[in-house]
Amino acid sequence: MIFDENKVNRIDFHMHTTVSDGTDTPEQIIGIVRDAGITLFSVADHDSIKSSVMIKKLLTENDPGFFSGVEFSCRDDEGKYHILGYGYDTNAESLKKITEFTHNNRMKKARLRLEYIKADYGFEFPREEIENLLRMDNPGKPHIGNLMVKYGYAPTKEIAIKDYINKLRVRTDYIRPETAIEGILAAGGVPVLAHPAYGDGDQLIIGDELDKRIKKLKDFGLEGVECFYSGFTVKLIRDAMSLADKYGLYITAGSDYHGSNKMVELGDTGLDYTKDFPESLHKFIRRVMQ
Amino acid sequence: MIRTMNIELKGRIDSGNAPKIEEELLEQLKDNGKEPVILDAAELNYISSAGLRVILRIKKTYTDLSIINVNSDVYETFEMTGFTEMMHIEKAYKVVSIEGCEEVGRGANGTIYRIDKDNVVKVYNNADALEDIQHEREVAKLALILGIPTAISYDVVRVGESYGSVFEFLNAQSFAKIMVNEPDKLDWCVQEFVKMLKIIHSTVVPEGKLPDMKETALKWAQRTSEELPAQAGEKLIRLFEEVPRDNHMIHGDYHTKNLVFQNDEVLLIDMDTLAVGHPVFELGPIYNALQGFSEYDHDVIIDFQGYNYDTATTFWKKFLALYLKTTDEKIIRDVENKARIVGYSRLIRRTLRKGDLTLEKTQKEIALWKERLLELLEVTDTLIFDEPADEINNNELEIEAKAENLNTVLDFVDKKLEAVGCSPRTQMQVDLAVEEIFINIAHYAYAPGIGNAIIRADINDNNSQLKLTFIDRGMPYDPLKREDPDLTLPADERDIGGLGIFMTKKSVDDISYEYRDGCNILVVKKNL
Amino acid sequence: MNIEKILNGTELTIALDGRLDANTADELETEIVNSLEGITGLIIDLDKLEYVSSAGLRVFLLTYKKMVKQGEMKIVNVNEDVMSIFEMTEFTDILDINKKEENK
Repeated sequence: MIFDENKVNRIDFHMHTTVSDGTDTPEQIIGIVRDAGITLFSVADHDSIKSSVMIKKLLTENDPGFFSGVEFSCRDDEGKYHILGYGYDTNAESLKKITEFTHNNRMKKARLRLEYIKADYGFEFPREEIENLLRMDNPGKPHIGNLMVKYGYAPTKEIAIKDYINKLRVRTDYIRPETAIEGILAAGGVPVLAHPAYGDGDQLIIGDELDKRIKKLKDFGLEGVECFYSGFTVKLIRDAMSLADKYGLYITAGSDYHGSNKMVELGDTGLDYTKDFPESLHKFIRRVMQ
Repeated sequence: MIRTMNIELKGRIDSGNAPKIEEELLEQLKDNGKEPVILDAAELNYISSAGLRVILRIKKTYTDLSIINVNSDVYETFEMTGFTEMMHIEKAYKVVSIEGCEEVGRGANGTIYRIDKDNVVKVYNNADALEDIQHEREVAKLALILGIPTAISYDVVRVGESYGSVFEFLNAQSFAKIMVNEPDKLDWCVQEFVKMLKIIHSTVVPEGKLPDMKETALKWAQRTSEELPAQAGEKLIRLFEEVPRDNHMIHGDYHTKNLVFQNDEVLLIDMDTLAVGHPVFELGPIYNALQGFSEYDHDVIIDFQGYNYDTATTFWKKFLALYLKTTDEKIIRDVENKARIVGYSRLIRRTLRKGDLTLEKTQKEIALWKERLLELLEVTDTLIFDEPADEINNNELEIEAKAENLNTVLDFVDKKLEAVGCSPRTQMQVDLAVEEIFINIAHYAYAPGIGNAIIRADINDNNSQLKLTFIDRGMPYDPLKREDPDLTLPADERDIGGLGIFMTKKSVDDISYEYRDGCNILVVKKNL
Repeated sequence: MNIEKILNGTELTIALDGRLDANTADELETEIVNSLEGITGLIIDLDKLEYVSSAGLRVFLLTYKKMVKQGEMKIVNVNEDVMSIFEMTEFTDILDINKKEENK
């Protein structure tokens, strides 16, 4: 493990692999992370701990430091939340239950979507493709979109999603944020709120609204906030840090790298790696490296 | 003009189309070298957080990025999320027409028109005026912070091909107009003219905030010296060089059209030329406005200010006497000579650069100024003169808020306490309060910039109470809101934060805070 | 402000003369940081100290946090006025602070 508290470190705790909607496999990502000069990382695939399990098995001494990660999409009456879980026990029952639930959900959604686009637009795919899709850990809109482009049903993935797939309002069951937080805690992990100012897609949550949101989540057991995020301006980072400070929460850093699916650079978290990390970030690192 | 790359943003940018827009933008930017990128948001209605992320990513690669013509909703989004801190973002400007509007004033950079009964607009000569407007606004704010009454433009608009600043202006009359319409008010005008100038000249400007007039003045001297015989030219330059640096404010273009009377208040307008320097560099241009420009042709001043040369001469003489606080002709004549040397140097350079040298009149003007200048150089050996002692308000100290000035502030307060025989313990408690409050202002009020603090120390009639008032124009901050530190914690958990204001509260008998007119005002009272 | 240091084996006495305020506190901090290596007993003698503000208290607190890992620290010869500041901030509860003796 090459993470050394006394040296300059590049970190990135938020990235995705093919286990969810990234384009690099868990095996590939270790090399990519090392080539980017990152010394400590985590992978937070949507609703799945598979990548963390795999990576832990594959790591050697010369690889960057790693701890388990996951990202749950949650929802309640007040909105949507992405809750990250770090440093959990990969064998924990609590997480198995949640990921099973979310996996079944996604499967149901994927099947519903495929049925819908067949029924409403007559778009069909060869059985093999459908089986491959449903064998994926977390088939989502981008995967179906890519299929549609492949078979000429839409010119681009974005149009496929916007003009066709999104037209079906799939009512799904989301897990509530407290469920995700409790599950992560029960697995010995640290629950962290991902990219605090951005709820979901277009949402912007700042000021008092964000304060209330974090307070509520803290009451559920939230322990950290992803203050350093590729999509944040200096002000958003500052505001998030002062809320983390106010509520005594850890600070984490992440880019939300998705491979070629999104134009985010690995390691771009807005954190200045040449300066001392904030104390709450140090505390987080010590906590998850235990 | 630097070449820029302009790209339009239209419609909406949200999670539905953000990736596509990002791809399109990057495609267009592919061929961009080092050119600044300008995103024109005139037709952009909405941008969601997904859109913001696109802009941020683009900024990381194309660091010279600005966004213009932003509507107010989108601007608000940019402001709330801190984008306005990270890059230049401009609101869309309203378009205003000056057709049929009365011209009410003229400054070096632009002309002022009345657009309706409550407002005037200063239209800039230079079509590329945004930088000038920004500069003038900042300078006006600085002047206001430092205590100079002036108007601040509240809006920027497009006027034809150029830009304008809009000011609120009701019933304002320039001093020049008053002098024309109400000649019996001349003495009053001189008084106010001097009063305002004194305020300006007594204002200390923090290092680096305004240009040094001496540098500009040296250019006048250098150019003029080329027109004079060698010895006289050298002397001229030497005289200018020997004027000491001075960190007090000067206006740079002070004349009766720059002072207006509005709602019982005298305001200074046209802040473009604000600088720092020795007052002689101010008196030169004042001489020019009242005498120099029209020395050859007395009618020039009628076009320029509206009143005639005799009135101007009377004004100049009364002004000098009042400014120097003397009736001693010798002193007045001496300072007038120095002012004229500076004034003629400026006139000669300016006319050589901008005047029509083919005209006989221009040549004659230059010849006249040269002649006078040479006469004056014979009898003048220095441009420096003693400024009259001001009645300093000795209950008030205005000083740059930095830690190094703490002792000056403490001396100022302690002297008053010693004068009334205050006990050492009480003096120590007052010192504690002064230190904590002043250092707090020095560290945080203007950070990362700098600014002044005003400290007033008043002792009541029967010497039983000291009232200290601390005023700064920095970030609004109420120190009393800070929670008291937990004094029961053991050493390894104790924090120093908040201890200072806690100690202050305990050391004084009363403490109160308000934020008013852009000032933090903290008042403490201590029974002696 | 004058800072005098007297070393006696592993015991160091630092005597302050003058005022400990926002301007002189940095100087004191640097002096102390550079002098504590190997010291097991630190005595801060405030006999000639007239005044201390929160900046000075900060230095005392930081010094204490450091000293407590390697030995002991006490503050002595504190005059009444300065003592009132220590008492007001309850530093007397956390640091070993001793008044100036009567006959001094």
